[in-house]
Amino acid sequence: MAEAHDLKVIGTRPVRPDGVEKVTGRANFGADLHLPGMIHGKVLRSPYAHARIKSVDVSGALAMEGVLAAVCRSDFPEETDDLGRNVIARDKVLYHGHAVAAVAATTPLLAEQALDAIKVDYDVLEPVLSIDQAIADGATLVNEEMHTNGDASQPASNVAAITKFERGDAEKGFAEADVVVEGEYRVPMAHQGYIEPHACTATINEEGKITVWCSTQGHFDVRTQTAAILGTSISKVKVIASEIGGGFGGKLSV
Amino acid sequence: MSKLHVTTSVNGQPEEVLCEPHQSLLDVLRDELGLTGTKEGCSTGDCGACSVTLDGRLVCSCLVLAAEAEGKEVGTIEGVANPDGLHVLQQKFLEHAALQCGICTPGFIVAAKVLLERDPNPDETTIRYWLAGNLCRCTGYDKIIRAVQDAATELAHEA
Repeated sequence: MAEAHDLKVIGTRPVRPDGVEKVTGRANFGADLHLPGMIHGKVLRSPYAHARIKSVDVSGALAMEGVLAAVCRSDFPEETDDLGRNVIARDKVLYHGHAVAAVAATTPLLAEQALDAIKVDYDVLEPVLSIDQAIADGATLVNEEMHTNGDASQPASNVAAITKFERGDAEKGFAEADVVVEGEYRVPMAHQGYIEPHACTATINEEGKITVWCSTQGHFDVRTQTAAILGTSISKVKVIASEIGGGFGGKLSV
Repeated sequence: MSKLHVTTSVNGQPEEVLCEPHQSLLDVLRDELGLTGTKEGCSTGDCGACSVTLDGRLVCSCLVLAAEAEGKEVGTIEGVANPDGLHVLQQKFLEHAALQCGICTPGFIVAAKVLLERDPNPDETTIRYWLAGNLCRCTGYDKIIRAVQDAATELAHEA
């Protein structure tokens, strides 16, 4: 075994390389970038857990002074996937808080006020509020395009995936056991609870080249997904990861 | 809505800002004065990431209107280190690895500094209670407590 003084790393107490920036407040996190002429975005979210969107009218927001843009589903490519549908609701809202429209304005307050000027006409549908309700025979389908484990040969289902972890012969084990204890276990929905909220600053130039600065655990994924959601090529998107104020898996995707 | 003219002092420097009546001290520090070391976590006074001092009193800057800083002295993380180097608390946070992601760190250091100014020799329970308003999701708090204890010891030796 090597003598302690021969070891370059083990047994030392190195100071983390980003430490000084972080204890002095100089480290730049997702919301710390301020660009000249920067405008602010706000998202209008569904007040319903399950509803069909009959129409979205952003013209009231666009007419307001200081509001520079307002978007809804019709501003995004038709062809999309689950992530695209999550970023902006299409024909239906699938949960309370699902994004329906967004505005950009010269100040955060103006953007917030502009959300009130957006008119959304909903046809409110029966919500599915528990696992039992979701998996029952004839259950109301929330996402009509979802198939269990992505198997489109099967009918649409509220069950996104079934995952089994198996080892050995469980039936044989139960048969041979002296005592069998049975129970049903449920785990509540959990959120990662990082202290830094999701934050992002972006620019786009005349050629359609986009630069995104954001708090993320995977800037290449964000690049791929941003390009797909906007219907552009990944060569036009550059993503620069900021310091990240906690993620725990919750900042992996757009 | 006309803006308010606020005359204040931040980290010993006189500052004048024009702010909206609804703007929080946090928003003005970050967006108007460019002092982004003070962090926004919850904006409801629960996480402590936006901790600053107002006339020496520890406050959540998200719960203070910028207009309330009129004529007062504001202290932020940017004013903790001095030209000679890091504050003892900052040094001890580094030595004890009392930070990982670092988003809560400015708030913890600002809060701990106020504690040590009021009580130079706090016991562990006192430190834990004082820092109860600051949330950290990475460290599990233990290293933060040890860093503050070690800083108190070193400051006592210096005195």
